[in-house]
Formats: sequence, C-alpha cells, structure tokens
Amino acid sequence: MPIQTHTLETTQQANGSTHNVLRMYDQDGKELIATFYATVDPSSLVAGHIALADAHLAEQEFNEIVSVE
Amino acid sequence: MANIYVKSGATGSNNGTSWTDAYTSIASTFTAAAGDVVLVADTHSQTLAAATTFNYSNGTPAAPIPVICVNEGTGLPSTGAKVAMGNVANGHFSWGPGSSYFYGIKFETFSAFINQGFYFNVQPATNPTLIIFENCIMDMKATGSASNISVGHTANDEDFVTVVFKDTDYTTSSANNAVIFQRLGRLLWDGGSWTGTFPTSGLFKLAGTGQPFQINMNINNVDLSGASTNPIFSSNISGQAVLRNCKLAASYVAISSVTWEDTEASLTFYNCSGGDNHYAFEHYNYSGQMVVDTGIYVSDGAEYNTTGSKYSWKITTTANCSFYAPYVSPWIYSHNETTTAITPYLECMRDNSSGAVFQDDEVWAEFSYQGTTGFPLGVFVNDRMALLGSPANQTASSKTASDWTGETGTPGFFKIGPASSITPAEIGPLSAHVCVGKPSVTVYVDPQIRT
Repeated sequence: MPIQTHTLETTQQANGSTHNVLRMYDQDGKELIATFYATVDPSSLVAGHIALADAHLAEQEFNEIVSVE
Repeated sequence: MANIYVKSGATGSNNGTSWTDAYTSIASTFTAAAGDVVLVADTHSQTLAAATTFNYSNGTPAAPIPVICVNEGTGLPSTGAKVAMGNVANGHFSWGPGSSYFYGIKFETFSAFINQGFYFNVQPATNPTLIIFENCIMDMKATGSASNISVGHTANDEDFVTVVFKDTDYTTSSANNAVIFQRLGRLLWDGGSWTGTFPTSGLFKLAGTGQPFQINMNINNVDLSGASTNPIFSSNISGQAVLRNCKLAASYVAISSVTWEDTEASLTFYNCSGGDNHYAFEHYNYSGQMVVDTGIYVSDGAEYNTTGSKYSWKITTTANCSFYAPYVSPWIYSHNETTTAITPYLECMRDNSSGAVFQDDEVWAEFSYQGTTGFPLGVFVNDRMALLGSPANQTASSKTASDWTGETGTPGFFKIGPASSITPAEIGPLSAHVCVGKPSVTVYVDPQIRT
C-alpha cells in the first residue's frame, strides 16, 4: 500500500537548520515516520522519504504474502 | 609461543619462522597456537583465490590470536598490509569461531558487481567469539546484493559474536554495503569513519523480519558524515543501538520508515551532530522519540552553552502508544540535597493547541526519589490519571507565551509532577521521565527538575 498522505512538522533550530518529523500514512492509515535535520528546504526531501516508505511497505506486503503461502 | 612471519614475496623456505622464511599467505597462520603472534609485513599484499575463513581456532575471547602489521625494519606496529579477494563469486571474508585481533591490515573485496562481504558468522560457535580490528581498513569494493558486513549467525543455537572496530575505517561502494545484524551479533565501533557510497535504506539494519535478529551496537567517535541524507536506520528494527560523539551529515536522517519489531528496541544518539553542536540527544523507540530542540524553549530553561542559550526536549509519539503503554522518555537527572518536603515538577508546552493543555491520561511525569531510609531503594511517584479514573487537565503553568520562545499559535502551558509534596528520606538522585500516552502528538519539556 503506497503512502497516500503525509504531514511535515518543522521547527527552526538555533543553528539555522530545521528539525523535521514527517508522518506518512498508507491507505489503511498505517503510519511511518521519518525524523531528520535539514539545512535545505525540508519539503524538498519529503519525496525521497515517501519513496523509501513505499519500498518498505511493498517489501512488507511481499513478505506477508510469502509467509501466508 | 612464537612469532609467525607473513610477507608476500618472501623467497626463503616459507615456514613462517623469520622474515626471510616468511609465509607468503596469511592463511598459513590460521593454525597459530595460543601465545603465538602473527607478524605481517607492512609491504605484504596478497590476493586470495577463494572465499576464506579467518578461523584462528586456538584464539579465545580472553586471548585472541594477534595478527599485527609491522615494519620489517623497525619491528614496530605499522599499517599498509593488504589482503584482497580476487574475482571470486561469493568470495566472502569470514571470521570465527576462533577469536583473533588484527592491527594495521586492509581487507579488500573485489571491485565488481559480485557477492563478497565481511562476515562474522562462522558456525558452529559453541563458545563466544571475539574479533578485534585496530587501525584496519575494511574496504568494500564489491557491490553485489550480499556484499555487506554481516554480524552474527544465520542459525539459532550459536554463541555470541562480538566484533570490535577500533580506529577502523569502513569504505563502501554501493547501496548494498550496509552493516547487517543477524543473530547474537554485537558491534562495538570506537573511532574511525565510514566513507564512500552509502546504503540508501539504512546504514545499519536487520537481516530480515520475523526472526530473532537484533541490532546490538555501540558506536563512539565515528565519522558518519558521508551518509548525507541516507537514513542511518530504516526498515525493520529490533535490539539496541547507541551512538556517542559521532559526526553526522549536516542534513542527517536518524530514522526513516522504521518498523519496530520489538517494543523495547531503542536507538539513542548522544552528542551526535552534523554541526558545531555539543548538546544533541536523541532517543527513538516503538512508542515515540525525543530530540533536543533549540528553537522552542522556556526563557529560564535548561542551557546548552555558556552564553545561556536554551533548549527543550521535543517529544513526539508514534501511533503506537497509549495510556497503558506510553512513550517513556530518557531520565532527567538531578541530585537532591535535602530531606525536607519538595514538590518537583517539569515545565511543559503543547504547541499551537488553542490554549489546550494535555490531560493526565495523555502526558505525565514519573519521578524517582530516595524515599527509603537506610537503603538506596528509590520510590516512584507520578501524576498519571488513576486507573479507570476520569482524565483531567494537567496543572496550568504560570508560564505564558512571553516566557517561551519559538512556539506557534496559542499554546497550552502546563507542568507535570507529583500532585503533593514528597519528602526524600536520603540525599541522592532525584530523577524524572516524561510519559506520553497520546499517539501522534508533540510535547515540549524543559528538561530540568524544578522544586
């Protein structure tokens, strides 16, 4: 189940970076989190985390299918 | 007890008794006896023609067989010896179950899309195995899908494998070159660096899911800054990992898309950062996470430098917590020097909440104090809602928006701590941790115990 929605919570840090908590949700509402610091616009990094989450979810789904069979 | 000599190009009788008569292959030393010392010339360079198991069978964790690169002229420890693997499919370097210690040697896999790794999983291991590398280089040039550092056994019923990297570097060439934990494997990495092409889905990860795989890792003073935005941890996690005093990338990713296989698994970062920061502290587990936040803090809060800069703990919960199974933060420590009644508490803030504060079934503190006369037995006290009780707002703080910096909207300011005073019976530790039982929320806490 690929990621359907996400939220990004960003707080500015004293050194100019941002701390970011990205919550990603698949269509079943399952949540995956990415936590990262960024010295660039954090929204530019979201797509990469979602791609990683999609791959992780696909792997999990595959493993579940294999284990059932 | 003897010195055993290894030197490529030695032209003597090649029996290992001197530099002249040195073995030309390190593999000839695997039968070294207890007390022997293997000396490898710093000019030594060999290419292995097959997968090789470095099993110094007479080595034990108490007395591993030492294999030391030395300068032939001075006899002093040196670096530069190299043991490479040739173009061999599945030409893995494996270590164990005998214990051994290596100094100054570079181990290098073949540069190709081929499966060659550094494996610490040789079975049967009926006793603990200890493999130590000091001032070594693990040069992973192979890029195949099984080209990784593999720590621990692939089967059950084996004994522990401990791998120590001391001032040892790991260089990588592919996203496949992760450090993979199997069963009963431990990695202690003290000093060194990881450079090259990094894994994109977790530098350190488990061998699989649904099995008793565990990360068991302590990393101190290691430069991981080359990882850039590749997550340090991703995918499935169980076990414990602690990183201390490490250099990370400026935009490092601590975790991304982690599935916690173990409710007690945790990842803790002490003073690890990509900048000139010396206060970072991060804790991650199944239920939530905590990081130091320097953008949101209370004006009389905890400080991280001599100019009075402040910080808070930013606690964020996952979807996996509840009143009965909350996220529990690391301890906040203080030393109490009174035996009179005190009412300790922590200042907290709920950001952008239209003024709402958390309730006592959502966020509470648990304090531990020396409440037992004559023994160090601690006593817990908290302000959690009573079981089967009705939730109530936590106590409003006298702090206001003018006392906090960096908040957004209209926050709720509150404090957590025992509802009534406590009287320590002895001087000693007074500690607190923050418990958050509400899923997917954020709370800011000033990490200093006030009384």
